Amino acid sequence: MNIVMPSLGASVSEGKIVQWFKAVGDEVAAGEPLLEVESDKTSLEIEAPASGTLSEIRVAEDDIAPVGEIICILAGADEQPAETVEAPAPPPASPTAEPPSTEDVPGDPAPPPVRGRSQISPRARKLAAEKGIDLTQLADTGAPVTGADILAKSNAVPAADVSLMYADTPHQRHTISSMRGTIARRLTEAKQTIPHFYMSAEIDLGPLEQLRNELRSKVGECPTVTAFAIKALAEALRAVPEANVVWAGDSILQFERADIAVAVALDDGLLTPVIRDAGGKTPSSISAELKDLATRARQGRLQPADYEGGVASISNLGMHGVGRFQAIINPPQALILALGASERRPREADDGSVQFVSQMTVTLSADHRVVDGVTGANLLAAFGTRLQAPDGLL
Amino acid sequence: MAQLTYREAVARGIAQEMARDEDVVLLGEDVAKAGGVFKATDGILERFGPRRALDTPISEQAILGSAMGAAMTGLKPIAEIMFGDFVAVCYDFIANEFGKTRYMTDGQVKCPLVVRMANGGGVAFGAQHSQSVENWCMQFPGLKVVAPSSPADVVGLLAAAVRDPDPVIFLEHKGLYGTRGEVPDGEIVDTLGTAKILRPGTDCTLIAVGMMVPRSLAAAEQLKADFGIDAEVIDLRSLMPLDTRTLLASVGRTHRVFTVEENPRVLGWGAEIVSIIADEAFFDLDGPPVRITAPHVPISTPPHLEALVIPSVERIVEAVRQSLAA
Repeated sequence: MNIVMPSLGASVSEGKIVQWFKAVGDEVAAGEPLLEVESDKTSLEIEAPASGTLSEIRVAEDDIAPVGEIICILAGADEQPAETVEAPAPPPASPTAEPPSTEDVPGDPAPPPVRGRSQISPRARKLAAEKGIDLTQLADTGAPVTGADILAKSNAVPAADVSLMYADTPHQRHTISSMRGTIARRLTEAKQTIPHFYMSAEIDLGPLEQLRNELRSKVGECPTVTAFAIKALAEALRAVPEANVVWAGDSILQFERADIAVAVALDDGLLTPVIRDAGGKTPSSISAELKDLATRARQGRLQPADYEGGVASISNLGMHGVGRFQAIINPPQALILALGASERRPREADDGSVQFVSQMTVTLSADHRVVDGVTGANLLAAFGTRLQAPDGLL
Repeated sequence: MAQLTYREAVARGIAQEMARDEDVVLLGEDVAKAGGVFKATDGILERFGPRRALDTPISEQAILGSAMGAAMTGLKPIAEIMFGDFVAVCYDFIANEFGKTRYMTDGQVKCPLVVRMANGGGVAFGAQHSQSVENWCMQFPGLKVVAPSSPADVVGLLAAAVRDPDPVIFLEHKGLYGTRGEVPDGEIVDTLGTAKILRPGTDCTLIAVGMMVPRSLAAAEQLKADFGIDAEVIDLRSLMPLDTRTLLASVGRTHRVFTVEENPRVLGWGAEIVSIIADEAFFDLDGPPVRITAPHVPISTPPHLEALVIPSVERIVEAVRQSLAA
């Protein structure tokens, strides 16, 4: 009986002999391991399909043979494997398949099932490419692979895994709202695809606090710190125009005005409405517009025109007592400025004494594809200078 | 709302348009005194008189030639070719004249006519009286081709065909003349070039015209009951223009498509549809598009042999089941 190199899976055309468990002249019982073969995808032991004597080894250890080539001959073995012979070797192929050329072979063995191109649907191929699923890793059920198989693999499996992990932990299950889904998708994409870098600066808030107190006593109301920060960032982008840019895939867009988005927290997520041409507006008009946008955002009445575009965002968690934090860029923008809380901090004065001043730490996150370190530093400095001389912003 | 047979709906549609517009006339073999060999024009002569309902000699060329002349000089004729098969006798008008007139005269001469034909098989009339000739007509730019499957669609699409400024081939199905359906009261005018989803489904799309529509609907019910396969059934209604938007959207939902055609396999309308789907929705497909057609043979005369040629409910079920299981 001729033993041939078995099929080692679809698209595998040859196999390597790892080890012969038997030598020429050895008696071999049916089902006994005969040799081990491997391909670049798998390795498997091949069992003797019938009892007999190993009369010839044609392919030595470490040598490679094409699938279907005779690798050894088992003398005295029944040409028809007896009923007691275990099915040799694991699927998909039978290693005992004899080449059709040998004399008295009754008929060609059926070809092993091979998952060819035609058995993966065009839709499945497209979805697999989109979702980064390796088609060779799909279990071979024998049925054609459809789009539904790919969707099941890409969606259901990880979610099921997480749920399984917490099956014994008491919990509630919330469905994902469309806003939460959008936040998850966009920020994952931002963090994965935008090369962020971060830089922080301390900003003296004394002059701004003084100005706001004056305004409050004179006018009765005054713009918020966020409104001043928006105005200062817009002015800084005008002074450092190389930072007033976004990455557009095949080009860089440099803007002639600064549209600044502001993160507005909602009960179940956040939105980032945009103040258009913030540099051309006063802090008080920005403050009023911001109030209107935030109100409408919380009522769910924002239109896409209210939150699309923008070059930079501002996120202020200072009122929640956060000292400093790093924010994720809101694509397709290139910058986001994170404002921390106003804190009283000790500082050495010119005469060597220690004074306490109001300071805020701001942290800039920048897209390094379009903004380099020095540009970011210049922008941060320009922002600080303006916010520390707030009279110029009015 | 009234229950009408398909043949009564033809007469109602013709009457609706003749009553509306004095320029609409009817001509053909036995359409007037006899009320049509399929009784589809019963009562037209009595109601509109011999000047507007004309029996013609047995000459298909004369029928279409005079219809074309009438159309070019201001009338809106409805001409009947008794059996669709006979259109071969007067094919020059179909292939070379009707659809090209407006184009070749730069719009100075129009050809607003309708040619009604009894199309298809299922009534054991033999190889020369049972053919489905959709693809004999739909290949010529300038011609529109309509093939309704229900009485209500007959009235509405016939009205739309008469009112269309271009020549329209109107294929009535012989095997459906006796079928009944609800037809709304009052004037009905449909839109050419629109397909209808008659049964929504999620697993595959069956696209059919004429007698293959009720068979596809029956097959869909059987597929659901016996195999849990939920098939969407689309009645094309109009082969030219073709409502590709509805077809492609359906394929985008079901990812599998079957055409159900009464015509022989080679160059049937389904080949054109499959080609469009391959061009525009290839990556929506979860399996090869399948054409369920008559084999490429002349249609047999004995009913039991004819039934083997024309796709049956059982054949449709089996083709869909096998293809989805593969």
